[in-house]
Amino acid sequence: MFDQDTILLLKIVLGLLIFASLIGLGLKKFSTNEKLEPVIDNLNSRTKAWWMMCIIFALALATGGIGSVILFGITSFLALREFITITPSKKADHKTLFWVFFIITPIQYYLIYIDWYGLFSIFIPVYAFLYIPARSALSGDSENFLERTAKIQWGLMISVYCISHAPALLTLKIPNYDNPAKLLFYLVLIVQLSDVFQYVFGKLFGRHKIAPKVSPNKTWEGFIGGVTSAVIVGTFFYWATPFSMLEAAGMSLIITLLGFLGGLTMSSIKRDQGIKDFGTMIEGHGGILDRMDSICFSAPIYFHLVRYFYS
Amino acid sequence: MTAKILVLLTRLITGVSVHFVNRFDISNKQRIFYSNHSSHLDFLLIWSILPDEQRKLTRPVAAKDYWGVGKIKKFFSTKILNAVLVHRKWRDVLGERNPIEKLLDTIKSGDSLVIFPEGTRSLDFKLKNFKSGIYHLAESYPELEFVPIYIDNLSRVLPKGEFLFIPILTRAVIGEPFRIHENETKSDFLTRARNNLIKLYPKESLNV
Repeated sequence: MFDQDTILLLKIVLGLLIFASLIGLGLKKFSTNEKLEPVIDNLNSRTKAWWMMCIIFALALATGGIGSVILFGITSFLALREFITITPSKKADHKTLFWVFFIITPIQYYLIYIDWYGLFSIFIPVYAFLYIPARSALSGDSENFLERTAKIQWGLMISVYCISHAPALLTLKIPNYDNPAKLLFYLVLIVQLSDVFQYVFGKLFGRHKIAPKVSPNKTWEGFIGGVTSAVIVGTFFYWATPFSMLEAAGMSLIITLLGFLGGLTMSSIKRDQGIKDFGTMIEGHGGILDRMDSICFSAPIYFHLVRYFYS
Repeated sequence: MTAKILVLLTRLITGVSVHFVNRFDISNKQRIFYSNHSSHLDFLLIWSILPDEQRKLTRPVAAKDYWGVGKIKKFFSTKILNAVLVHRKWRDVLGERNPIEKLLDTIKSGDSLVIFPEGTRSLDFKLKNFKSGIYHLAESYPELEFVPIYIDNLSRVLPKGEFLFIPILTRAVIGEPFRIHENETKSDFLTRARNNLIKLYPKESLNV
């Protein structure tokens, strides 16, 4: 499962993580600037989350396809749980939600495991999306029906359908390219780097807000700085992908732009529901959706682009 | 062993997070925990957030006319949860004891109780008026401490009338322990107990 390139990738990421942890530790210890404290804490908690991600990721890759299907399946399940928790639902939705959690979600991941592309790419948008309103209608409560149905569909779309395209990358068969797990690795690497670069650039140089009502922390300076740096890194990692150097630049640009839009969209949802993080309301539990928002948008598009042009 | 598994399962399904209004040692003293009642899982949830020592001496109070009927329910309530079963219409049943006497006996033996003073599960999210039982306990044992616990969102995990649960996240807010005042009247105490629970309702409930 581990070819030379994958091992090199892992080594680089490990190096980056050790580097980030040391810097974080150093800053925490020696920084006297109180204003920077929340920024340092934020970076440190991100680093911690990345360590976890990296370890779980390596384990998932070591066990081959099944490992990443299970890993992302659990991620989807927990993300959906956060989404539904903050979304109003009525008693009449109870049975629908049971289906969504325990039947539709596992089926979607099973379809990816058995590599049935034709069905997994339409299972949720066609079958589940028709089933959900029908099941809720059977419960006989039509109050706010459209709103309730749309919310469940959105939760399923974002948390399950979109995220499931990440492990689906492993099913792609690309000529002269051995281990498609590297595609997944590449996606997560670029998305995470873009997130953190945007955060750092925003903190350092952020002046002009992009959408102050939706996400006060997103600035043009952060956006441009973050995207540019992530694209530069993405370009130099082209050797881990089936792309040429130029194509890698284009691909990482698309990934980062979509990641940005994902973050913005999820911020709107949070804002609308009156919360700051999917995690803050539920201490020690939430935050999966906060970490996955950029992956949600980039994974399906990246999957289809790679599938169409390279496999 | 069964208890441990049950606690783990409850925590896993409900993903409960616990918040103290003012942290205190909840581990061993005999206390009466009371809570809003919206789901069959209410007691399990409270049980699962208590520390081991407290859990061992804590018994739920459950309606005999529901939990004492049928083999499975009876086994679950008496053998696993060690519930004190009281009959809501005890006067109509031959040989059935007054619920308050039963509870006082349990308190005398040193156990903690979990009670739901609303008497039944509420379907809307408004707290019903309290039944007077809680007052009689306080009146007979003025030293006894009462602890309000507000449970948020659990009715979405398992609503009344459903038997399949869904894994929605919940939380429990634990208020400060209090006692009955000297010469406090029944209605004053009931109002105060109810208000102490209402105070725990978060500004933005998960129960949107």
